[in-house]
Amino acid sequence: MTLGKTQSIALNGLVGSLVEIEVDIADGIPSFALLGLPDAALSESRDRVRAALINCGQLWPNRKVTVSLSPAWLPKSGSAFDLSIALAIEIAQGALPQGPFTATAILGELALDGKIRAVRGVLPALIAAYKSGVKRAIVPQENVEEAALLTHMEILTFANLSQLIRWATTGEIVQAPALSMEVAELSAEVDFADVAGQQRARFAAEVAASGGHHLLLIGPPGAGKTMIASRIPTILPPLTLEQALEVTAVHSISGGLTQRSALSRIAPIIAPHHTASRVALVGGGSQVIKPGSCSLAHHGVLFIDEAPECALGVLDALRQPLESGTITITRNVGNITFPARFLLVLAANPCPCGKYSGKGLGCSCTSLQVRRYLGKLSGPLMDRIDMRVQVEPVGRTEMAEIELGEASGDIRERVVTARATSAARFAGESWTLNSEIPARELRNRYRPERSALNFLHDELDREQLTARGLHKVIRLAWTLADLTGHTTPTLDDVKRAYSLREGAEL
Amino acid sequence: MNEREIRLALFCAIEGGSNFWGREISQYGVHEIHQRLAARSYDPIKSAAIFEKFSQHSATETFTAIAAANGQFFIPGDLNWPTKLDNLAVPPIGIIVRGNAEALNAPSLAIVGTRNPTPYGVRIAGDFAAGFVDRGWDIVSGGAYGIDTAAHRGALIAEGRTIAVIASGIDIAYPAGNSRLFEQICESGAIVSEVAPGSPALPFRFLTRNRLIAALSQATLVVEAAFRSGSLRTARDAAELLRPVMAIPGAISSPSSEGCHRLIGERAAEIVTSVADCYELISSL
Repeated sequence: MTLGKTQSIALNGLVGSLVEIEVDIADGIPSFALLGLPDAALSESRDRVRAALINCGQLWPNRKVTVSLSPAWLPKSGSAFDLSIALAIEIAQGALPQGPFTATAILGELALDGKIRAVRGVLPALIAAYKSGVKRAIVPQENVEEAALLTHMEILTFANLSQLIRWATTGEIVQAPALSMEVAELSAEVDFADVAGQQRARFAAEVAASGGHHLLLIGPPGAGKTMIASRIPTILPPLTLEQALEVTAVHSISGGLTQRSALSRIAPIIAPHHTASRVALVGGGSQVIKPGSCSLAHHGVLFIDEAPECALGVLDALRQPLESGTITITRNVGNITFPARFLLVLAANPCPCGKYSGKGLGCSCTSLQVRRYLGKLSGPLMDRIDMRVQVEPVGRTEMAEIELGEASGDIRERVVTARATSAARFAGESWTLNSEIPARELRNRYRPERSALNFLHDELDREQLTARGLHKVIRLAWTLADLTGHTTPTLDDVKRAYSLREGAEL
Repeated sequence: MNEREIRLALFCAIEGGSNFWGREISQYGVHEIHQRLAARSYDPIKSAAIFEKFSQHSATETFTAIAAANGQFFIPGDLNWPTKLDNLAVPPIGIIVRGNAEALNAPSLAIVGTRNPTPYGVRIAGDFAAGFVDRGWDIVSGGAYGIDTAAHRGALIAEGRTIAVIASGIDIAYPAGNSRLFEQICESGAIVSEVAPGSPALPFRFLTRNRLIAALSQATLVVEAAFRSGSLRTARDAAELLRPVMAIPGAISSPSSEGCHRLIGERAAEIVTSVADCYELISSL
């Protein structure tokens, strides 16, 4: 037989397509042709495949080898095709039977010694394969955990090419992979109990977690802004299986599953540095489009410390995902949509030197610098932030307090209850969180009490509030009502929501 | 030459607020000073800049520039001249007014404060402005960002009159971001400038401008001011004129209320906590 066929998957963002690998070995001057729009990494696979086959004691066909990846028009990238090309060559030169590889998706990069190496995007690739009817997959050992999430597929894994060849010829499986489907527990490393004082900021974090409201923390360095933000995932309810799969899929294509276990139920927290570029934040890339921080924070927290230090326009790129929960990236290779429904937490110093608090005597900034600093966060972005909270330096009584603050577990219980209340209320609706109530519903079915609405209309008349701001306040008031057990937001709830949004006491 | 032209020439040559020139004018009168300047009978080194401006001055040109900016030049004795200004140690030689000059003689409250207010300060400034407008008063402020803007806005929202005393020439909108606010102010109230058209808003002009804010109003209210703030200067100017000064307290952890707390602590200002408080305090005077 001079023709071998295997199957693999090409990923374009989170969308995978089944790719047929055909190898033909013909008489002629020895050569190797790889057809089907390969990128640089894929073109190099010839040398990896050749070395791997020879080092596993196989023969390299010294004839005219043609490898075709079809559909030919679809651009293909990455090293995940190595294994499928190697196996197709083996089948074509008669070293392996075709049988074991029908309807089997093969993913894996080859090392020169034949070891099968991990690749990115195994989960979304296998989801695509499963949807196109493939029932069996061969994946690298490091990726077996995320592949195992597809419980309806038969997943095979091998440490190296020799073991795989032995299995194909004899059916012998060297080592059955131990599948762990255990749900990772919330790690106990960080806990809200560590945060001294900061009642207001703690409460804001609880509200943010309960209703999915975006948060800005303003305060001098060392007051605990970062501490609070990094503990928000610990009070978020555990992800549902469906959410966990979505998160794992995004992390899988960015190759980030080394830090995150495949079926982690913990909401992710992504904290890009303020020097991050726009592409790093929202995703992009010229050949391979990769998800950015905002997609990696899907169903979790996107925390940006020192937000005013971000380059101009970087944070504004977040406006679209904040509205729609998705981000669509367009490059010449096509459009890709990634999920990006995250809780945005920004932290900022009150001024460039950070000391404009208390008496403000240590502050060396000019009045203009102080005004410009928070002004760097653009109006449209700030309009999407539901809460602005001043984080004051920890006082000495708070510091001397021996008893720990409230633990994350206790706060999480309240968050879970509040979320359950809102989810029950929105049972027939297309949304589940208070922050997602559409504006027209806020004026109809989800109106606060009459007196509360009058209060807001007064503020609107006095131009202290914009229409968008009014809607944000009502959404926030719903979360406060859920946390206090009110069935409808009262005047008190709305006033508290208003003061949280303004960042000042009424 | 009539008095208006003479005063215009002096107005363009001599910056407001100078003690020396204030004394000279009050002692000898504008005609005499005009002649002395023409004869250059002052110290040629100290007064070099004034001589230069004086010799380059052209009345027609300046009047055209004022008219182009929809302004009017007022001198003491004019029908709408705010006589409150005559209480100043150094009263202005003249003022340029754009908008409704009648507003300058109505009872008014000055609301001043930081350019970096907190939402609390913005709310208070707006509320007090609206509250006093409801009681028939006008609001005087400096047209700057922050508290000034909030005070002007509050007055306009309550459909009242408001006066902005600016530090630049009448034809320059400073800060430029407030140029639309200035248009709105002129529809019912007025914009006042004490410097020649075309003069930029330089730091020292803000200080001389502050004394006009204090003099044009019956009382001064400081809403939010940092430890070092130009608003404290306005408060001092008002105190020198024996006009009531009031300050709004804030949180002691808020740096933008530090100046107010200082005024209250030094007994330089009365503490006020509501519009009614404030109204009672100054209407009893």
